[in-house]
Amino acid sequence: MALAIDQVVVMPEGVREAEANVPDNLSTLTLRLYRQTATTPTYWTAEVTVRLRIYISTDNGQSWTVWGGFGGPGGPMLREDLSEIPFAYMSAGFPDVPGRRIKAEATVTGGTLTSRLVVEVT
Amino acid sequence: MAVTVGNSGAEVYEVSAGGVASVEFTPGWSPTGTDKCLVVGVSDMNGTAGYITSVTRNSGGETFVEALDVIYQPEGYEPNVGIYHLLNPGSSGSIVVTFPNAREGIGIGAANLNGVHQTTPTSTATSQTGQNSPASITHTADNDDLLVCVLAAQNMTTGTITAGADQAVVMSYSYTESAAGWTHAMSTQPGTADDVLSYTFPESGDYWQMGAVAFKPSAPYDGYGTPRDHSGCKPWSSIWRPARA
Repeated sequence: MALAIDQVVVMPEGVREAEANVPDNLSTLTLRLYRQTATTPTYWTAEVTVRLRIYISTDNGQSWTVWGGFGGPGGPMLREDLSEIPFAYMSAGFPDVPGRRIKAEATVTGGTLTSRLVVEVT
Repeated sequence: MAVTVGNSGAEVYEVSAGGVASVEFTPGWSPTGTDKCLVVGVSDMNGTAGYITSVTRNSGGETFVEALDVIYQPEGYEPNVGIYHLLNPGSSGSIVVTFPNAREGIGIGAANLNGVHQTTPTSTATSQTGQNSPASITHTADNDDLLVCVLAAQNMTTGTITAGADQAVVMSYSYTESAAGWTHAMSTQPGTADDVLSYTFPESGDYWQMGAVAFKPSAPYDGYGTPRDHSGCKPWSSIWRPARA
């Protein structure tokens, strides 16, 4: 069964962490953080810069290795066809070994981050 | 010895991302083999100016060397391709690709190469732009070289692309979240194949850019491929006879 975290987050400036167990036999991780759009004007606004990192542990949280992540400033972003890009995302392979835990680390600067965070392992 | 991808071709990794100004990832392997070289191919799209700022590893402790970083601006939008390499990489560490601004779509491929010349690892990289299918680039390579190419294409709204027959896929993404749609791809090709790298699109009307570079072997190519065994040859004296008087 896939792991899916989908929640609205409000994070003041600083560093926040959260951990979760990952079921076995899953091998792709996708990370989404929703950007400011016309319908979500309070999400990840232009003055807020975020660095989001996912760590993985295979020894029940004793040691951690960076899996990956992304960063950048918020604010609205348009595609070539002028439609809005609703979220920032990243997707890549995930080591399929038993007993995994993941830790999400968000570093927020420039103001309070309000957004919708989605972490999926499939 | 020819340049190869480490661990019998297994040491490759791909990442897709979008709406961000930096991407960090740790490949699911540690670089193995001798005369190692990490190569990172970056394919990205955005409507505003900017090349790739940097590619680093181990929190900036290792900085990749740029072999290529070019942008094509057929309509103000920018298919951008970059190829970066890092000789003799450490055993572990995350790789960070940084852009000057957020990019709409990003595809990143990474591969650990073995048998790469540790002083002059690459040829002079080249790029090619065009429209419609197929996208292709010709880059001269010797037999023991390994060609690496990266593709960025826009206006892909259906299907996936197909790499040339001799190319091994490192990274390939086609997505259609907007009406435009983007394609990102990276592949390798042995120097023994022809010097053409290509991708076939399922539809026409697309602008594309490709970049290519040849990674050079640590033991320079001698013109004969693998060393010849001369032990069974007749001595010159038995072939060349004295000239008749």
